[in-house]
Amino acid sequence: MMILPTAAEADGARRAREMLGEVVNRQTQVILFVFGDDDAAKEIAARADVRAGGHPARLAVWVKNPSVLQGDARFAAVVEMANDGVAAAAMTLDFQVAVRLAGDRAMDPTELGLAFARAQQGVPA
Amino acid sequence: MRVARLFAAPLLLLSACAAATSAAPPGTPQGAPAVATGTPLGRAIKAYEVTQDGEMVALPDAGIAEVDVNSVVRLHMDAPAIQSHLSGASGKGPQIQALETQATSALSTIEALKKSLTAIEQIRRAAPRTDAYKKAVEAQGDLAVAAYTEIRTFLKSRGLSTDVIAKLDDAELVPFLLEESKKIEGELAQQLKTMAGVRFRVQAQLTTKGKSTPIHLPNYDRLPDGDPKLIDKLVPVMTDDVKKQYELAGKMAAAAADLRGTIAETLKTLERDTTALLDSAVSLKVLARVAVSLKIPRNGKVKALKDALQKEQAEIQKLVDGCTKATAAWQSAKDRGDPLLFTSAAFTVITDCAMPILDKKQLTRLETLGKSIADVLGDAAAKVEIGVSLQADLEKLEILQRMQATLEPLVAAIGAITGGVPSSLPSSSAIALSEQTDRPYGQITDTVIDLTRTERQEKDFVTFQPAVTIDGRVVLDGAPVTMKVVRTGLHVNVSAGLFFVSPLDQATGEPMFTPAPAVTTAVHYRIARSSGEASPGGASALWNFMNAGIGFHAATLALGKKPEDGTATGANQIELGVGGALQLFGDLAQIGVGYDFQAERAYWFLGFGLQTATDFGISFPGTSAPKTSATP
Repeated sequence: MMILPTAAEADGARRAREMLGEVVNRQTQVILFVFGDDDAAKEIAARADVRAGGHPARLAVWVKNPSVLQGDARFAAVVEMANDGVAAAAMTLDFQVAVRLAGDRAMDPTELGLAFARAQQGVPA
Repeated sequence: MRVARLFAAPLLLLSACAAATSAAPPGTPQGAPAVATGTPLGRAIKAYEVTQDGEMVALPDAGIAEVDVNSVVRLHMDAPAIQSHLSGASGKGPQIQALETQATSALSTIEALKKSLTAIEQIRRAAPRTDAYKKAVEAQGDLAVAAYTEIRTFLKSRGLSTDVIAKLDDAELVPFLLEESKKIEGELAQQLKTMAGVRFRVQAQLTTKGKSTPIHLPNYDRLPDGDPKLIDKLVPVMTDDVKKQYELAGKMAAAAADLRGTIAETLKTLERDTTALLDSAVSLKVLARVAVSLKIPRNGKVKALKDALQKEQAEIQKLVDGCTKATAAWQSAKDRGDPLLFTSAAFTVITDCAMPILDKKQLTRLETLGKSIADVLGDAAAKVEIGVSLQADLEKLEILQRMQATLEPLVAAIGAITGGVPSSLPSSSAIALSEQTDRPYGQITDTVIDLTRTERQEKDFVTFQPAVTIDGRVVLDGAPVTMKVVRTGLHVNVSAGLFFVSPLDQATGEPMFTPAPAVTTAVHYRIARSSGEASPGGASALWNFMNAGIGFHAATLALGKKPEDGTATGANQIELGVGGALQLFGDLAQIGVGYDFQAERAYWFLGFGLQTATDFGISFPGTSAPKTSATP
């Protein structure tokens, strides 16, 4: 799992954008973002990481502080989803939004697995 | 590596469940209707006829299907449907059904996961950022969607929260599912213990000439299997029955110096009965008038009788009209003295007079009427009130019963000719097998009825019947399924017949239609039914009904030389005639020409075969025809 640095960390925003940018540019993995820094987000991130386990084309990315992605046009949609209350979102290899999860659905391991799988299918939401 | 190891893990419980959910047999015709769970027990077995040529033809769900003498009938068990009957009989239906659902769900989940995990290797092998890589990712995504959907369904069917797999990655899900499968197996075994004595039974029998013998069904009994024996349909075979019939024809020809006299005698007997019937009917009519004319019956029984007679009056009138017309035609035929017209008139009597009489409702009504009369006769007051002696009329009612006995075989013959269902089908009660191997839940398997290993003959019946037993006692009988054994395609018939022979160069005063016993060998063609049909329909049905044949005959004649002076002399030796023959309705109606070698004369003939006639249950005056039909 990739955990992006927060704004509170030194040079956190820049490093976060660089880390994510590198993954996006590689276009070898679908990404399941988990937003937030509370216990629920922590559990969702853990479960998403389990679902990515053993899959070379899956990556779970925990964005504790979505504001670090602001200012980069590539991540505008990600920031917008986080601000809209989306708990988790799956992106295709082309970095298009495939699935948005909120509430209990985001906690369901089968929903997380399906989110990864649908992102792999490459069909934007 | 872990994934690969997990793939090798045995699917423990599911082998049993997969066996229970057996697929259609190899070669099952496409489009054969699937039997759903909840199917009646009798329909839970799908039968397929496999012909001598290897063609597989489904049997219909209803009706008496024709099967060829050289066919094998495969019985495919709809295991889920049968098992639902077994579990239903034990009262454990819902629990077992739920466990079956879970087991099936586990099986499909594991299969889906296996596919999904295998596809991951494709991703690993492809170079990143290539089209092949992207396609592999997409393909694995498709399979993963299916796998997660299956997992969700399985967990729901087990009543488990999805949280139970929160810490298990996809590879770890396989052992988890196998563990769950084991649990299901244990639960299922626990349930099945409570229905240990519940078994599924299938038995089959062959009915030949009314006698039933059990047929070995592999996996379902320990009866010995016969040796395979194909019937060559194109080889003429002089069976014992044909020999007997030939002897019978000879006796008939010899005994009936004048067949017309014999027929006239028979008709006279029947005519007497018919006249008596008419008397009875007329008497009833008169009786009805008397009863109706009674003003205010003081006796309740008389009133009841009056009502009954009033009700019957119209029906009796119809009966009288039908019989009057038919007997008039009969009388006319008799006056003309033509045997063919006699036969035709006899059929008219059957259809217009006898069949209405034999109508069960009619008989029941008349029987009730008879009882009413008898009841009134026992009441002296009522008898006085009516003022007529009804005893004689009551006796006349019995004539109906006598007529029934006289005409029943002929009516059966008509029914058979017109395609009516034979009245003498094997009864299910006749199925009684020893050496039965009833099969428990989970071990239901297909079986076959191999006709080639039985002593089957054309026109035999083959029946199979499923049942559910508990501790050997039948608690649920499935409907028996009956098939009729026929010879399809090109086949040769050898039969004995009675010919009425006339020389082509007939001299004045020479007798026409001299009876002569004969044997015919003719080629027939029977069209086989299509899949799902009991018998062929449309033009094929008409063709099979006509059952036309062409062949040759050999007859023992007594034509004698053609008289020179116009005086018939007859034969003073046994003569042999041979020639061609055309047949209709099997061997029932025959016509042809031939040549008498001794008399040196050509002849033509009309004839009828004793085979079909005896199959129809027709017996002949002064003889006892061998029965060849199945009349259990």
